[in-house]
Amino acid sequence: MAAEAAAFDEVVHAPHRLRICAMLSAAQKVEFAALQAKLDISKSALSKHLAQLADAGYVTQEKGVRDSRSRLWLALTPEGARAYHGHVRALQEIVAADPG
Amino acid sequence: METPSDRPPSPQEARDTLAQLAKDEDAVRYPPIPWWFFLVGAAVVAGVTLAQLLPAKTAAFVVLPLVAVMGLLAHRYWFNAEGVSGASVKVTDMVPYLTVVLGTFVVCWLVDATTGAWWIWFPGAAGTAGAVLVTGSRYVREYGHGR
Repeated sequence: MAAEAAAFDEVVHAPHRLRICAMLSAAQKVEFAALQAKLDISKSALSKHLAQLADAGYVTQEKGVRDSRSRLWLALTPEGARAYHGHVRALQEIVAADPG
Repeated sequence: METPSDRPPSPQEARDTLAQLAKDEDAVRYPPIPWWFFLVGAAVVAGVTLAQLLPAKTAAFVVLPLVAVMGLLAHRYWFNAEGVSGASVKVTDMVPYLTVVLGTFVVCWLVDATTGAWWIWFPGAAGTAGAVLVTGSRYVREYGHGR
């Protein structure tokens, strides 16, 4: 992973969107239903977060078939990965600067 | 890990958020894997280790299918588990396991080559298989076992 500049990103700052980016950063693609199960939120709430991430160019959506079932796959774009890792670095810097 | 968006998080909030993100990444990166996957893995590394007793060409015929079987199982049950495609493993997480397995190989090879003690591959096979079983047991304890 390249060392992204530490920066808080307004789009990924919301807790659920940040967690979505974390999960997507760990694989090439993750299925909608798997994200929903891990986050334990409603379909509509997840769709709303994904739409915001997609509008920012951070996530791509792709329909596909696996095991004869139609599925919606989500992937983090390079811009999304940069924003996520930059956000994580900003959090790490806050922790590192804490004397306690 | 709720933090208001109009101010930066406190150090404790940042720490909690990072812990949650690490858990979320691991939930995708390390899916529950069936326990028998590690039994097969142990048999495969033991087989690969013992194959070193065979002539080089014969060893290749034994090792390649074993590695292919393990690769297919890893592809199905690990890297492309239900709902995930292309999970990425952190190399740093693999270092202890790889160190034990490759280290055992190197030691066995050195002992065999310098002293002719060919039997060293038998305890070597037990060592590499044991490393897989210990790793598997820790994995299942931490991430659960799948079907």
